[in-house]
Amino acid sequence: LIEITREAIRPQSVIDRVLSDKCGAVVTFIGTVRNNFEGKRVLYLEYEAYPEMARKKLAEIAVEVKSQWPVEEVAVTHRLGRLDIGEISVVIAVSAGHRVAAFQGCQYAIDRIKEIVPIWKKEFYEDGAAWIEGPHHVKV
Amino acid sequence: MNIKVRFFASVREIAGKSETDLQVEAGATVSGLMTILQGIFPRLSPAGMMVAVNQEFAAPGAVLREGDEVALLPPVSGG
Repeated sequence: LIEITREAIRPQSVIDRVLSDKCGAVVTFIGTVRNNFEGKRVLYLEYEAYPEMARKKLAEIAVEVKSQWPVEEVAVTHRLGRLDIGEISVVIAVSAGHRVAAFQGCQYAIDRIKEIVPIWKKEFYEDGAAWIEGPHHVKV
Repeated sequence: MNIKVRFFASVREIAGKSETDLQVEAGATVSGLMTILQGIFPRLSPAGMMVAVNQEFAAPGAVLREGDEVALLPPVSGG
């Protein structure tokens, strides 16, 4: 249910991993590559991970979601490597008997990913590049 | 004892490598290792950095053991 890949992500493949006859709702979050940062044009991104730990932390987040909401299944696929503008960087799918748990669990999952999963992005501009570290940009 | 240190993202670029093997004294802690690493890589800034030992977040006072894999993690930005 947890996957880190260098290939393009097909959202339907993530959704398929959580579908169940017991569920009345699937909520998905799709993160995509934005073409700007503070007025600067972003040309493309690169994602890097500590893959062994990232997989472990993503699995922990799925357990946290299931312990806090009555959800059926949580699946996450995160992409690494070079991503062009508009490409999908992450897909989260949460299935549940009813929609409220699926919505809330999905929002919690993406918020936690941004806190504890060791994955980093580097933005490439016309005049350079910067690692994004939490809320900060670190010029390189 | 032998410790493997892995670097990621901006820290990897500052170190100029993705990992290194270090000899440290028995009983060394995470913060002791950070001091050693700052001696080797003066541009390394501990501000906001998290440290993982064997793929789990570790406090500065955590004691290292032979063969541990320590990772220096800048604030994350996935998603």
